[in-house]
Amino acid sequence: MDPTITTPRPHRWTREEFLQMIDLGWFHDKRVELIGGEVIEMAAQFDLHLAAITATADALRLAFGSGYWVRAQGSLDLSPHSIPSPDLAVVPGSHRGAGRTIAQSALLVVEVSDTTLADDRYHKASLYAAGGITDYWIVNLVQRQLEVYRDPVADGTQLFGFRYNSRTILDPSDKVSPLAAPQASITVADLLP
Amino acid sequence: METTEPWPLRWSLKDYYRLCHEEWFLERRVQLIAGAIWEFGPSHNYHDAGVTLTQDELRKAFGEGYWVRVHGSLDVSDSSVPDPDLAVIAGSPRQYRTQGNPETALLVVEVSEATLWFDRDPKASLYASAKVADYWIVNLVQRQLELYRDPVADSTQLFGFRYNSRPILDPPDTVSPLAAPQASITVADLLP
Repeated sequence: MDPTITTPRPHRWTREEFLQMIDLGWFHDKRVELIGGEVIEMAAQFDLHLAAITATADALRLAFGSGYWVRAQGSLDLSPHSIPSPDLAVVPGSHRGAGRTIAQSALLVVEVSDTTLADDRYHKASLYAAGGITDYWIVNLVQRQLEVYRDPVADGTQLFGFRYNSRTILDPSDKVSPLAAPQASITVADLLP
Repeated sequence: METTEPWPLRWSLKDYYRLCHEEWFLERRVQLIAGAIWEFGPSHNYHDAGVTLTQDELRKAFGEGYWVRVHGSLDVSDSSVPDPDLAVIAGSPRQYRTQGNPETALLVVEVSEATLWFDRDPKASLYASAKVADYWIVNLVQRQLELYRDPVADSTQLFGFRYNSRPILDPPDTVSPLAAPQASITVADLLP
């Protein structure tokens, strides 16, 4: 019995349990992620969303060059209770030689947002800030802007205890450089379908 | 994939029993409510005394031919398997040698302290949807008995039903279960 539970609350799965359930075939017909101990079923994707992921992945590959792996919708192991699958995550190294492991950090995380904007701005931002992601972008398909979140700081009022201190909104004609690829310059319009 | 937005995975009754069988919830008290697995804290003497006292009174009130189940599961629907503190069903325990659980009960009782909000809502709506005609909350906070009767459809509620009649009884009051109308139980006898 968990003595910390004083009132009914949703059961929280740990990352170990979640990974074990995947091995046992629990989610074989679904796309799921673990967010704050809750198994979340991911939405169907429209072409617009997927087009933005492809455009952004292309731009990031150019910006980072060889020696980095731009992962599309791969799992990221962030906390005892969260294994999200961000739309894009850039990690050092190559996809060659990858094993049965899950990346535990990323240099840059990107979410492409149309229907999930509120979730990506608040819950996911807090989750990635807590996971030590220093550069988090939202490709906002609704306003056709890029939202850049940087400088993660502790904030007990947030869902995962952290938030980003800096939030910059960029328009299609603006340019952005990833923190981990400062020599590169990406035009925001190139990320938008 | 049918949704266009992410959504917490809904577990089915079948999933839930498989999870229990695979021992994911050892040392935990869980119930499936509306497709979500809810976890409950450890119980304690005050609560358990209320359960035992109520069990004794219900055994006397119903007599032979009824089974007063303690913490047994009810297979209410494909997405809900609650474990009420007490549930009275017709027949003796030996008639139930099969696997599985009843889908409803003549009387359901929750003994409530930390779970009061949960037992009033969503559980009242859940039991109303299961056609439980008589639902009691032994309220250990206010030391009262809350009666919930006359389940009616109400689409604004989580499970599409609510109880139309909700009288509140004090310790000196007496109550008769709907399914044992000849019996009379003093509310004080249910309270530790």
